Amino acid sequence: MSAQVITDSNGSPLVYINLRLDEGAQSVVIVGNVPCSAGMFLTAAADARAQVLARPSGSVDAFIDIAVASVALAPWDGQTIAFDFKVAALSVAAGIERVALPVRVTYNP
Amino acid sequence: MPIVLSIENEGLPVAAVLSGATELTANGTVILGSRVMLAGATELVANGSLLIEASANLAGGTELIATGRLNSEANVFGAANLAGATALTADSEGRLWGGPVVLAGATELVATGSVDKGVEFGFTFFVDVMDAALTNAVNNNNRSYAARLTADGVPVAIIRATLDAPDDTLGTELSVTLARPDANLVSLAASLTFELEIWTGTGFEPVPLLTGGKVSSRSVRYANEEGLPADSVSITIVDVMADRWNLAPEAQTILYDPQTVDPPQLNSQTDLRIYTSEGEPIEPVVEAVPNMRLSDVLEAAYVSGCGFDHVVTNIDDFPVEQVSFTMTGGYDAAVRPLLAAFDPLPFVVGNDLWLISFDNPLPAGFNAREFPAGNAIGIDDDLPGVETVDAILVKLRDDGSGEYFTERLETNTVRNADGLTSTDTERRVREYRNFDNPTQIIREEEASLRVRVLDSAFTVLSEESRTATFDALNRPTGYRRTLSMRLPDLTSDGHLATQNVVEEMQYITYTPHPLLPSKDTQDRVETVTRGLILIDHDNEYLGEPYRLPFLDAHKSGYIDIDADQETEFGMIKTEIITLKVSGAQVQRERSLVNHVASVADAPSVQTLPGSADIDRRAFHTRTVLLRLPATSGGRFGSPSTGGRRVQEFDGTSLPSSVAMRLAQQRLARLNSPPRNVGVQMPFVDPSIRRGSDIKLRGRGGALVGTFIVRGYSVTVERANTGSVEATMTLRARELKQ
Repeated sequence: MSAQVITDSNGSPLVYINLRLDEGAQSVVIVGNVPCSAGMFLTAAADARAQVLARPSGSVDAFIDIAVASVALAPWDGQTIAFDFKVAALSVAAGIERVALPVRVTYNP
Repeated sequence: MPIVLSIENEGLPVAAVLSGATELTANGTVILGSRVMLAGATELVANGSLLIEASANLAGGTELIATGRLNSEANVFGAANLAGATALTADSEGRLWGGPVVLAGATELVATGSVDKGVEFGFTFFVDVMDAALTNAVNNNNRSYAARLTADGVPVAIIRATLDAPDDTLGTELSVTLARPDANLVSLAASLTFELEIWTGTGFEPVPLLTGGKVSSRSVRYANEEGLPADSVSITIVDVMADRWNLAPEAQTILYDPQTVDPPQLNSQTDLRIYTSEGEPIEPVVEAVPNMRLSDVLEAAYVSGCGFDHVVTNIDDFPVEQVSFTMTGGYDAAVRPLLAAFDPLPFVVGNDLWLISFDNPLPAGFNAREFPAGNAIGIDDDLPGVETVDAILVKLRDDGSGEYFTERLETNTVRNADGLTSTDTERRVREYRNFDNPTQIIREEEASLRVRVLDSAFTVLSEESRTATFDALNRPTGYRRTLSMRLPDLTSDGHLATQNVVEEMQYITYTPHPLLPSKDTQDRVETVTRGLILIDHDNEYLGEPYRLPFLDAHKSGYIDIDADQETEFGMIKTEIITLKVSGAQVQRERSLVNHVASVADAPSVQTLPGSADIDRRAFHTRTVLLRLPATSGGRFGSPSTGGRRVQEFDGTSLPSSVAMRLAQQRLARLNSPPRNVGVQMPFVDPSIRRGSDIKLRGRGGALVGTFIVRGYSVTVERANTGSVEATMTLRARELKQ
């Protein structure tokens, strides 16, 4: 309920995205427009069963696990930058497991 | 990233010395590790948390300012020696943590207990990760199942189970029939777990569908059939989550915003006091919450009250004047009226409660999960009645006077006299109260009613729901009633299928009282009934196939599956009642149009003693006419009301801007309402749940639409062949922009 939100490429706020992935599979890429401020970081919750990967849109860099390596948003202070997001499923102990992975822009990665 | 000043070598007395005037600004966490010496005048600003570990020596004049960003992050000061003049300000939690703390100099310590909520935003991925074996089983359409019910870890054999996740409540409800009709097999206090086991090709893989459930009701039938015992035991179980919906405070609790409303009067607080049987008073809790907003109320209700970790929602955080948590209504009933206009979908992930309104479309570039026609054995695609309106009246409130309401939930299950069917009733009742005396219920109105009749195998035989509508003055303005029943399906050789039989809308309008300016009088009640109509091509009447309401045809045994009969959904009847005040009497004129037979009954007029008056509520409202722009034009594309009746939207409990936005959506949806679908599946997909998005395909791969799942049912039973069959039914609503 913050005034700032991450939006999709149509400008609609991203709230949640439902996925079903097999072990080892990756989701499609979702583009999110991220308002950037100095001192803030783009990060995600760490989970052994799945990870959120991201990189700036249009970049040729590899996707990185932003739970492990948060992205400092200081270089884009005051701008809204498009990021590519995708989810990689790792492995689960058995059956089906439901994982919630919050993606956050925060001062406290 | 944290800035860490620490030492690695214990042999040195001081590892890091900042001896000059130092200014350190860190947007992450600052940690002053052991034996760090800040000898000079130092200004340390940490926008994250500030942690001073043991033996930090702040010898000079030091100013320490730490602004915590998150509730969970405390500023911790370890065994620190603040020898100089030191100003310490912690805007988060400031704590002098255990160990010897020496404040030798003139020291000013300021710790403000309030916490600045973190500037933080984002979104969430929900991922169902399936292991390889289960993936193969689902992809290969393995449909061999087993079901396992355990009570306190002890397996209990069952012959049938139905798990229901209702659309508008949390949790699930499981109904089982025991294989051995012994009611003592499951004690009322037992902790129950239900698993569906799916064959993967090498073994059964369990998928827990309910854990930690408790018995909510039990039904035992003792009977003989053909001289042999034919007893049966059925048990209904609710899970922990469903039970949370019923939680309530241990004393009557009122939260109010002192900046917008007065505190409840003393006498009303006295009335709220409850006495134990020993005579001990249970005092009401009245708490002032300055600038109270919806997020505060949700936090109080669902986090502090119901035990969730967080509430996550995309609903506007609008100001709330007052809310009452009653011991009878519980937390949910108090919050529900605030959320009603948004019609959110509740679901739980981990221990977080999500309340999501459907305003947001799917993200660009993201496709909902494909759901091919082959996955379904039946799809019911239901478009609710389209209201052709080009404008809507929005009622906005101008001040904090007058009434508000809480809701009371009443549920009841009774075994019917035939011994084979039972009736579930769920009724929501609005309890209207005044702000200045919240203990007193001024009047009650039925907000909704749902009645379900189930047979002994928990198959729903009929379901009737009625939802009332109210205007800004809290007057009833009508209702929407639907009835679905298991009736012969003429498109499927007369097999019984659940069909929408009746949909009825009622509209009530008011006019100012001709003699009393403070009163209104009810002047017109219009009830429009649409429903399933039987068309008999083998029986012509006046040159046309004979038509009659399908329900009437069923009751009279007219349905003949061998005849050339079909059904269509259409207008059945319209009833109009007008009321006129005449002294102490009311003149009631009723007319009825039968659309099936195209016959209008002669109007009947009655004069009755009594009154149709209603006091206008002490409430200042403003009414805004919101029109569709000509370009987006509803059905007529007119910028005016088109001379047609307009609907009313009650935005009095919301800020004007939020109310206007919701009213705009309501207007658009009246002309183009989202569809509801019911999907019957011949198997169970455990990854489909409340909140899942599906892209539904019909014949030839044609797109039926994109829907969000609101509820589902899973039925597991032993077939005559001895194998266990499991089926799933989804209830979903169309996602619209």
